[in-house]
Parts: sequence; structure tokens; C-alpha cells
Amino acid sequence: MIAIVDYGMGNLMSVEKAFTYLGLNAKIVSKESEIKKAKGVVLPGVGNFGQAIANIKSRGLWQAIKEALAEKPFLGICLGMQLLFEGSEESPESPGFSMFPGKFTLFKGDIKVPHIGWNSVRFIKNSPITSGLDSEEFFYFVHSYRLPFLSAYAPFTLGVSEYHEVFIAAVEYKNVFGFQFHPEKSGKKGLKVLENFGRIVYGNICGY
Amino acid sequence: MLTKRIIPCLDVKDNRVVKGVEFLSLRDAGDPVELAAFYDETGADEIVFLDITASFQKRKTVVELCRRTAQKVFIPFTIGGGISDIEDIKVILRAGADKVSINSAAVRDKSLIKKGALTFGSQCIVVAIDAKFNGNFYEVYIDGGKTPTGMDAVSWAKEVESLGAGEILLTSMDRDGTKRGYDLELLRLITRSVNIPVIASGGAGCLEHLYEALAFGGADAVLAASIFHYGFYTIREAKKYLDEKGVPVRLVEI
Repeated sequence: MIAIVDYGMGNLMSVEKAFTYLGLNAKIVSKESEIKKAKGVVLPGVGNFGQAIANIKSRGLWQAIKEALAEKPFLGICLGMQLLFEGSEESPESPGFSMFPGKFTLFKGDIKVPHIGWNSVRFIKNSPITSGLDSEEFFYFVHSYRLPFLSAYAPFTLGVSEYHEVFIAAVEYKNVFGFQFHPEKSGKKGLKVLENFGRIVYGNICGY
Repeated sequence: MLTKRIIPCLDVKDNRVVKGVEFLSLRDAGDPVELAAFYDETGADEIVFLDITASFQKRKTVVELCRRTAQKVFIPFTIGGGISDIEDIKVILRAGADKVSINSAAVRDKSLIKKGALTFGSQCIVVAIDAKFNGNFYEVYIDGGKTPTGMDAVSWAKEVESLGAGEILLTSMDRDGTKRGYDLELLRLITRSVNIPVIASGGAGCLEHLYEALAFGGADAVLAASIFHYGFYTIREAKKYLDEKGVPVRLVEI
């Protein structure tokens, strides 16, 4: 089972429906024990960084998520990806999981914020999670905070996007994947990414 | 590169599409979910459902629409029409919608925008503004265009932004249904006054109109109904046209 972690932030249903549509067994869970049992974990999320961290802690999910990050296929989506980093300007007093280095900051410059809509993502390396996709594809984004791309981040950066500046759109390190965009809202290409995650979780079994 | 969005709008009543839709390829063109899935498939960037169900069953039917759509449609969708309080917003988002569009209720109770944005995030609060030129300024109308408010659309747009709205859905009542093109003057006034995305609505009759709104009106997205529903143009044709004119769009191969 793929566990979609419910920690009281945002619409999880669309992520669940997308997996269901793909014929993959996924379930919205809110208990530590269910995260521990899962074969793969998805951390979705929309909303405030500090509130998200507070919710995860008050629900007693911090440790289970940390363990999942260390050992099983893990996918962070949008805020769920940001939480895997050190922190965010949005809530400087709330450190994230610090799996990846870097702190998110508000988009700056003469642009509209939040960044809403379909933006191209350039994948700068190959990965099983982008199998079947072109090196540049469009995905749906909704966010106000971003991590500008630096060459120091190249080792774990899977894809970048441009909105006034180049920022990190997708990350990968070992078993952990993170997307700033919403694959569950990005039509066929987004579904492809979730299907690939399913393959990573369940293995390349025919008709899984 | 952020692309400009093409958004078909479906008018729904009692879970059926009202205003005819002519797609022979669809089994049931009256089913909003099937039609939305078709638009998703053919390259629409988002879907807006304008629900004009009036019965006391309204909330139940909207929830059913959201649930069914969320199972088959994997692009963002917005529900508008008769949303009156925070509970409505909660129920609709929980049922799977990505955004709600509020109009009259936002004018009557401005705190609804703020409460909605704080509770669910700005990204899901769209404020719909229906505006009509009264000889002096563009005036905001509510109750489906029936009630003038005396408010200036430009100052209202600025206010909704400051209250936390994530997007503005701007409809020109002077142009709506005329097929004469979007009101570019109104669009420019609003897009220059706010720093949140503005969706142009009202008046699209041909592809050039979409181009004008995006290239000259400063719109971030265009909403259209009849030009797509009646099969005058496909979403794909619209995007190809815009792409050739240099407007950044998401092209979808089918």
C-alpha cells in the first residue's frame, strides 16, 4: 500500500483519486503505524510551512516520516517537498526534515505571486520517476515560496523551472523524490509520474 | 516558462450541463464530468463549473459533482455559483475541487475572502467580478448581474487582492454572450492594478479574441464557453493558434 499522509493540510483526495485511477493501491492515512506498514509514502500538502510541521509533530508523525525517508520510496508534493528541506522564510522558527540543504524564500521581482499555472520543467538528469517523459514537460504549479537553483544543489536536483529566475522543480536522492508541482493536477504527464512512482514502489511487475 | 491558460467554462444545473454542447464524440454531452474529462484529454488547462442549481439540494449535488470530477479529471477545477459561506467553501474543497469562485457573497461579506484565504490558502480562493461600464466607471454587479453595487471594479479588484484572493475571474457584462471579444480596456485596467492572476471572461467569439486578451489585455488566462462547446474550435486549435502567434501555451499531443 502507498500511504498518503494526512496531517491536516490541503486536499489529499486528488492524490488518492489519481492513484486509484491508475489502479494503484493507495490510502489516506493519519496514523504512525500505517506509515510504518506502507510500501511507499506520499507527503502532499498545501498551506503554511510552520503549520504543517506543527501538525506533523502534534499528530506524532515526525519520527515515522523520518524513518520512511531513510528506507522506502517517498514522494513529497508541493509543500510536502518543501518540508524535506531545512526550512522556509515563511516560518523561520520551524525547521523542516533537512533531508536536503536549502531554505525556501518568497518569489521576488516584478512577477505575480502566487505562481499559479502550467510551467515547463526541464529535467536535468534521467530518473525512473520521469521514465517515458520528454526532457521538458509542462506541470501545474501553485506556490509562493521557491528555492532558487544553485550549482551546489545540482547533485540532488532532478528538474528546474523558470519563473523570473531558475528554481528547483524536482529533486531526487536515493529513494526520495520531491516535486514542487502537482502531478495529480498535471493531466497525463502528471499521471505518468505517479504511475512511475507506483512502479518504483511495487517493482516492475506486469499488470501490477 | 509560465504559460497562459485556456479554461472552458461549463454551466451546470442539477448536475447537467445547461446551454447545449455539441460533441458527437461524447456518449453523454450533458454530463459535466464526461465533458470535463474530454476537455482534460484535449488540452484544457483547467475547468470552471458554474453551478446554477437553485434547489435546497444544491450542496448535495455540488458535492456529487466534485466527487465524480475528482475521479476522472486530473487538471485543476473550480466551482462557482451561489457559494455563500465558509462552510460551502469547506464542503466543496473537501469533495475534491481545487478552487472556489465567490462573487456576491464576497461583496456582501468581505471577511469571507480573508477567512477563506487564511483557512484554505489564497490559491483556492478565486473572486469573480462581474463588471459593466456605467458611463463613468466599470461598476461591480452581483446576483448574477442583476444588482448594481455602486462599487468601482478597479478598487474592488485591489481590495480583493489585499484580502487574500488568489485570482480574479473578471467578466465583462457588456461583452458576455456577444462574441465581440473580451473588453480589453476593462482587462487592462484590472491587470495593471493587481499583482494576482486575472482570468478574462465574457465575449470570446473567435481565436483572435483569446489572443487579444492574453497579448494586449494582460490576462493570465482566458475563460470561454460557446466557442468550445459548439465545436467551433477545439482547445488544441486554440493553443496552436496562440503558439504560432508567440503566446506561451501548453501544447498537448493527443
